[in-house]
Amino acid sequence: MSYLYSDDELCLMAKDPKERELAFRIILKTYQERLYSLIKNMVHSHEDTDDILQNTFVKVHTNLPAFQNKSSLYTWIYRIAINETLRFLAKNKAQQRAMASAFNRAKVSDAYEMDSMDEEKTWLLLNEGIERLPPRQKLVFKLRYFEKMTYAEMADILKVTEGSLKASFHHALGKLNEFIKMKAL
Amino acid sequence: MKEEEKNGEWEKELSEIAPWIPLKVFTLHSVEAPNGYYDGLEKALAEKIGKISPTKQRRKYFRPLLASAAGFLLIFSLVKFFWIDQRVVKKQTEYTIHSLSTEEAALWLGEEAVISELDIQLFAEEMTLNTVEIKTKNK
Repeated sequence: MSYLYSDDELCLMAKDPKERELAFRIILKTYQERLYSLIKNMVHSHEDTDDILQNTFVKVHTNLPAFQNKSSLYTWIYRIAINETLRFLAKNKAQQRAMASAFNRAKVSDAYEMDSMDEEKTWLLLNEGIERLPPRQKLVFKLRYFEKMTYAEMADILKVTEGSLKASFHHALGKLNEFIKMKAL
Repeated sequence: MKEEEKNGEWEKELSEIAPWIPLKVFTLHSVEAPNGYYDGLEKALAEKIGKISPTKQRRKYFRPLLASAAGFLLIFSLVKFFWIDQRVVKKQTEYTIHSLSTEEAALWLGEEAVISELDIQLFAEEMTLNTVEIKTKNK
């Protein structure tokens, strides 16, 4: 739907009180699924994802008329969603740790179809390893690996240099490789 | 960057630096929303946003402004009371006619002031020079 409208057009619509709601609905339809999977991947629970997603869109709605279009709409919305998620994670550290380990212990029953047992094992270990990464590396790894974001996009959203993001991703990969090797023995 | 280019670059990087990692991405938990969730989301958001009425929003922004104004007024009144007013009182006390002789008072009040000794005596006990000046000029 948003392919019909450029960021500039959406910004102009948002500044006009008569068209603001339409602009917001277009943005909602365009980003809701992507943001849902981004947030769910980080917090795991549907209820928490729902809360964070709603807060994100309320913030988007409130600040849309003031959006300056200095960065792209995509970057701006992702930044709000990631900040909301990080705020939630910081507030609920203990709960998240417990949930993550529960997920890792859980059997892969509702999972996607897998080719072989080896791949299943790798996945289980990989997911367990990801949850053990330091928060920054975990975030960078998830954005790069699951969301397939480019370093430039991540740098824009997280306001850090591409070099430090690459370093974080490489460190995370190194740790995960070691973890999987150690556990597989 | 187009989606295909992005995917190509992503696959290339991962196969070069981490050939052991599966390129078919999969998570232990589903990242898809339950059926009908997005319709509910739109309704929930409409409700939530509706609650944030313009009046409430205005109040939200005006509250800090009002608080700052009240704080400023309070500080200003305190400063005025303890510093400016006290200084004025002190200054006036210094100039009470009480401490002046008849000649000095006449000098202070200027040539235009026509005052009798009786007037000065009447005002001498309580009133300040300014008061005497006004009263005498009115005469």
